[in-house]
Amino acid sequence: MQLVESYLYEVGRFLPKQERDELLADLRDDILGEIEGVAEAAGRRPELTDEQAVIARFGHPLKAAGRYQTPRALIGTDLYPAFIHTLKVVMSVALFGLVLVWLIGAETADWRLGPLQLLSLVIEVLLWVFASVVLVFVAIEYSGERLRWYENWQPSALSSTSLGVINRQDVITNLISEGFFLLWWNNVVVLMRFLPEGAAEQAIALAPIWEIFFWPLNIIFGALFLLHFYVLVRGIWLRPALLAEVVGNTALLAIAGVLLTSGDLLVLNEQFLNGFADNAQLVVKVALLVVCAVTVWDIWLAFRTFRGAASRLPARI
Amino acid sequence: MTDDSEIGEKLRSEIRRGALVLAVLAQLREEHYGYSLRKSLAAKGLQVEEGTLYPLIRRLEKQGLLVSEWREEDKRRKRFYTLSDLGMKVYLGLYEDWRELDESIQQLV
Repeated sequence: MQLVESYLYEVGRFLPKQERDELLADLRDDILGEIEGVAEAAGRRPELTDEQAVIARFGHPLKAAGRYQTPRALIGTDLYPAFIHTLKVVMSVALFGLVLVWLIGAETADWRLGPLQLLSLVIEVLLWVFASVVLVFVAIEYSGERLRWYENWQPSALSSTSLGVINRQDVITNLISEGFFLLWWNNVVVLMRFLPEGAAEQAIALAPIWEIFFWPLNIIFGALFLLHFYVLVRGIWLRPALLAEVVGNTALLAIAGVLLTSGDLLVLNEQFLNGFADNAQLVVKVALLVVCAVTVWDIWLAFRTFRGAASRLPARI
Repeated sequence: MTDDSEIGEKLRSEIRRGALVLAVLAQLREEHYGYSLRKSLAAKGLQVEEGTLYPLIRRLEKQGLLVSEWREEDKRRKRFYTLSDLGMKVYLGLYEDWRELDESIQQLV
């Protein structure tokens, strides 16, 4: 029965130490009982072919070891879809953050990375993210299984302030435009880079009125960016989030109103612009009016959702 | 193997897995050792692999549904299993559930 002993040795490698002897003793009895049964049914003594056939039916040592233990899962089937979803979201955010930090670093601190350094940084960040998400879900799995908080859940825990599902494309568009504005507003992304250094500043600049709104715009756009990110992750509009959306958009509208009524919005150098100065002022004001129109539309949609129209139709904000 | 047969195989295996516990408990109303239990199941049309049956017997014994005893038979030491009192109670409950489920399924299919 050398073959059986070799098989048991292999199975034992995959069994926990504290249970190994007991499990192997059971498995040995099961295998030997089977072999003897097969031989007895054939009316002869056990042969090597019986051993081989029986062992083959017990399967690969790894699988056999698994079957003889209580099934355990680091992250079980109930939590697995949420785990994958969270992993995708957190990894995307981490990659986006990394790109942002890299852009800011490259612009402000001359932080240059070679392709291999960048690759190694990306891998390192993703590994940390993976490990962190796994740890969180293992904690949820174990606390859920041991403390049984799943069973204590009541439908009353559901938010009664949910007003409808979000329009994902719109929220992503908002996120991108707000992120881009913040980068431009803080000089991380410089438009008109194609012009010779200093030429853009000499030809065209924002009027001093904009300076008053440096921090208010940073705060409003930063808050809206975070709000839209939160809404994107939740997938629904909650009453407080919708309220924040209205407040943020109203504040933007107020700032746009002050800017539109305060004369020139640009300081232009006629020498560089060859008579296009008036057109440039007009273009900026029209652009600001378009922003106002979009903001008013967003506020109206938010109010419509508030009134409950979106409880029948998905909120398209 | 095509996709539909793969899906079919998985579903069949799920049905069998659930039914197997009831089948084993039913057979162990009478005393059996491992090999004889497997043969008796096979004789009634339920082929079960050793790698599935023995771990199941072990689990049922751990749960207190089976009791075992080592005895010599035909000059060989064998481990005989049979239902415990708890096992009989659980078996009768499961059988009742199975009967009701079978009635419902018969009306549905």
